Amino acid sequence: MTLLNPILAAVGAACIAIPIAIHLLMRRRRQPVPWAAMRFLLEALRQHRRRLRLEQLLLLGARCLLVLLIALALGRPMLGASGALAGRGQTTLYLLIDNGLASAATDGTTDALTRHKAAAARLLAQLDANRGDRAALVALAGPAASVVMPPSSDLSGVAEAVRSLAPAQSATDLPGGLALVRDAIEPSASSRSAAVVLCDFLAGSADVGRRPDGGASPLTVLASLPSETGADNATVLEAEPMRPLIIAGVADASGGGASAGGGVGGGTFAVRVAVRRSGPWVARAGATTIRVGVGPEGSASLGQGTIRWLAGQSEATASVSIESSAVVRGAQAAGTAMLWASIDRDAIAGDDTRFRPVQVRPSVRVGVVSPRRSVGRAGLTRFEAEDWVRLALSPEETTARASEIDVSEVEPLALDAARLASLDAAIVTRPEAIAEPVWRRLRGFVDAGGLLVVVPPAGASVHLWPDTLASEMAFPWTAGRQAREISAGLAPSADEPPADDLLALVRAELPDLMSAVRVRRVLAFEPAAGADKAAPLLRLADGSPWIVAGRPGGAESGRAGMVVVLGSALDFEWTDVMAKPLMVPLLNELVRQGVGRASGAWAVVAGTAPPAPAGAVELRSGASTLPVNAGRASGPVRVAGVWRAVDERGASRGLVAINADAAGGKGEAQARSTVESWLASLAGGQVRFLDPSASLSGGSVASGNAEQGGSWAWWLLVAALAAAVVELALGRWFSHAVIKAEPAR
Amino acid sequence: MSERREIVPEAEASLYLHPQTLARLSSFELRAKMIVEGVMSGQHRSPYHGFSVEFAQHRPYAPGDDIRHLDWKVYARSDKLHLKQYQQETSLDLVLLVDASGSMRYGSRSFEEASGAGHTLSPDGRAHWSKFDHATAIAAAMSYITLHQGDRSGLVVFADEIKALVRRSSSQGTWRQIVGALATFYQSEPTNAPTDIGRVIDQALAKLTNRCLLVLISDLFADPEAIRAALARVKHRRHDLIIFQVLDRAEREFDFRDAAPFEGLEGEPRLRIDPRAIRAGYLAALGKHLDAVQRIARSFGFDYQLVDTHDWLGPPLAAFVARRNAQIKRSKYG
Repeated sequence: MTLLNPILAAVGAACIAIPIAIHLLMRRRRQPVPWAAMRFLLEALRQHRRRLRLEQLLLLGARCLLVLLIALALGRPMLGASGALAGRGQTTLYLLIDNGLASAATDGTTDALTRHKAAAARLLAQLDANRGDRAALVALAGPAASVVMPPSSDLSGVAEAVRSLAPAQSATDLPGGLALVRDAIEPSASSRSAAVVLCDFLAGSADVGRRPDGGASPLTVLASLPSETGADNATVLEAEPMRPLIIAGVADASGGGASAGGGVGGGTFAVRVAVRRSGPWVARAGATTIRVGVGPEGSASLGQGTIRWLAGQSEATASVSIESSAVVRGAQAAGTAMLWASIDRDAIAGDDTRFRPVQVRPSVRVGVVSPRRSVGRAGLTRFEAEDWVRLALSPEETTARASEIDVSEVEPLALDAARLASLDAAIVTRPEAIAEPVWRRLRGFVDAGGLLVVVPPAGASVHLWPDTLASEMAFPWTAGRQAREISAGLAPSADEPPADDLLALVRAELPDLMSAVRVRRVLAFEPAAGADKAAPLLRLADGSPWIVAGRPGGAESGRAGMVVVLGSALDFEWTDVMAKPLMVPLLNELVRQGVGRASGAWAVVAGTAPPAPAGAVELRSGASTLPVNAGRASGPVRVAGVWRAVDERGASRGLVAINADAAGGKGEAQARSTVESWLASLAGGQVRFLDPSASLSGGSVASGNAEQGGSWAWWLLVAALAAAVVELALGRWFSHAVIKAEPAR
Repeated sequence: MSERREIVPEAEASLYLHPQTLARLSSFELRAKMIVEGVMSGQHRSPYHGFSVEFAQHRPYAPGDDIRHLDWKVYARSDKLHLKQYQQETSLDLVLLVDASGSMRYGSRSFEEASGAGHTLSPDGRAHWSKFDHATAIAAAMSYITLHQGDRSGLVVFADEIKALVRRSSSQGTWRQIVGALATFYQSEPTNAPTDIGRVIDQALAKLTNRCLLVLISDLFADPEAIRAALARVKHRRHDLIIFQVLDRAEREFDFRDAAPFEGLEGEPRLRIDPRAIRAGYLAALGKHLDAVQRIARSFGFDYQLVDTHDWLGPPLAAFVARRNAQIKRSKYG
């Protein structure tokens, strides 16, 4: 028998002592009555002693039974298979076990998942397959998955499936789990259905702030009690390299002396690590050590930092620097190094490490797409846009730095797939000269992770190419067809930088660099219809965008590739930026960061289907494999780790990191009433809690039907009422108040 | 602290002999149902026809008769020898046997209300009217009647043995002696002893040389067989006996509500009982005992009267005496 309110039941049962105590106290408080005719009392007592004792025992029993029944009714019992369920028809048990990230929370001896599995095993032990009982199993690690569905009568098989449940690092998906149960329950089924949720309901496993829209069929849920203590947990939210692309030749050659342009040329490699802590320890001060390394998890750390928490502080960011050469040496297949950031082990170990692939290239190959030019001009006017680009990207052809970015000019007509495949970035300086088929090939190039930079042509009076750009690239910005004449400088913006902030490394120096720049002509940018309003990379002093960037389909698309469009042609009639100090860092950062970001992060959170690099047909991690369809794995991956993408020939195409879902790592305990309300909104019906110690160890199967539990309480109340009537009758009869005895003559 | 005061016999009389009781009894005379032998002349007939004051009858002379009682006038008229016989008048010797065992101390009636004399406490400081108080009142009334008609009255106070004794006398001070002895008994000789009716009767009979009217005033909480044996000895000694069985109203009704420990007055163990649960059994046992006592008394021809301490003494006592006199007249003339 399961008690929903075991404390009330215990208190009520303890009240059995009340009638006994009253009886004993009354015995002590009575004053003795002097009496002369004791011989007749003794005689009467001798004759009726057995009857009187029986009456007293019956009366005491009735009173104790009355109190006990009320206590049990208050405890709201739910009878199990071995009890009242026996003979009452089949029972179908839907077990929803939380094996998400928060289920790894340990109290030092046992983790939550182990407890949930043990509880599920005890529940299953109460079912009887011979009577037609069945069980189903749903793993709640997001997205929730049916392990055994539809319900099976092979209870031992279900128990084995419970035992084999492994912890995952995705967030708990209870709404999805209940939806699976709801879909599986047949409305016309004669058996009673029970949904039992075994979860600690920490903030990471129960997002009580998110309520369903409603409309689903009601489902009655029986849940384990929420954890009352919570878990002291820290989560690595982010391990983001300041530059996701490392040019190997520079790292090997320089060894020190970071350049002012962005630090990529230096010997250090900065990683920004964001950490969030949750649980009871947020109220206290503390410290968290961060280690950063390259290679498989557990390899030697290359850098270390410490976050010192103030009491009440929950999020902090630290920057850890490591040797760039170490990253290059750690590069694995297809020029990808797996960067990891790890913190001290805590209650939930699954989110203590975060992976981030870093691209390692010998150089960046940039193709300047422009028709063949005529020569003969002199002075500054002899430089056209292509020249300014080449000069900015390769200012010193004789130094080693020249090899970092390999700039070549490409005729638009020669821009076939093979040529594009040899490039990391394409800079189009004469977009009006690009034919539609070439635009389509450029779209394919971008989709494969390439960077496309478009510079307006200086000589065009009407610009039709922005229309083609918008249609072919699904670019989130549109540009005006005619240039706007202005005379303005550039100004730093107070707005938040865009999500893909390609100028992040130089943004601190931008105000000084921009101050010398004058813009005389510009194309007006507007966000495309239906696209989210994104921030431009740079603005003019009047606030209008000057350089914009975006991914095909918008930032939310999550796709690889990137497109950058300048608002002014690289011509002195448009702007003098070419002759200003801003030109070199601007184009370098656009290319370096753009190539790094356009190639894709290849890091996703657990619970999603990870993307795969172009050409990959399969993802492999140890003995596990996942087929790849249309650039993504065929199914979600719930366990954090590093997967290797391979092509048809088995050659490596890169690494993909699966990280723990930070949303599932929140360790705060949540109030029972809050969880109950949330569960009720999810289930659309009543929710009752199981006390693990009282109900599960008691070895009963909860019916899961709260109304049935309630009905048992009502039956007990009826029984208590009957006991009260019996007690009244016995009390009145045994008091002999109704017996008319004539006095002695 | 309970109020204690010195016993003054004159005062004690008013405590136990209510004026209304006296008024009721003043017109009655107590007659022995049997004609007993008296040592003094009185209004009671003696079975010994002799030669005293009142002529009774003649009988033929038989050799050996005292010729001093020959009626010469009859001899002169009829030439036959007849002796004159006279009916000798005897006096009534009343012996009051008053039970003073522990059980007689029980009472549930207010002393002030029962006494009617305006005192709230008994001479020994009790606020309740005990069965012994009622027995004292009965004894006072009976001795008052007896002494008032010139007969002798004596007193035996007993429990398991005779505890106090007032010799028979017809003097005017006897009544005050009897009342004083009863009123001060518990003050001077408190006892928790049970009644030993057989032993007490034997001791009392040993002190009686002539036939007497015995008045036994007791609750008779004793074994019926012992009572039967004691009464048999009284009958054997040809004494007359009147039994007043004194019970308290609470003892007769046992109308207690709450469970409580009951504590015996004669050293019985304490009993924790629910009175309502045991009432029927108790009343049955008590009724059976009363029936047995009454049956025993009737079997010996003794008068029996059940007295309730909550009733006024006058009416039942007057009724009893009247009924008894009527019986005597019926036996004499009928």
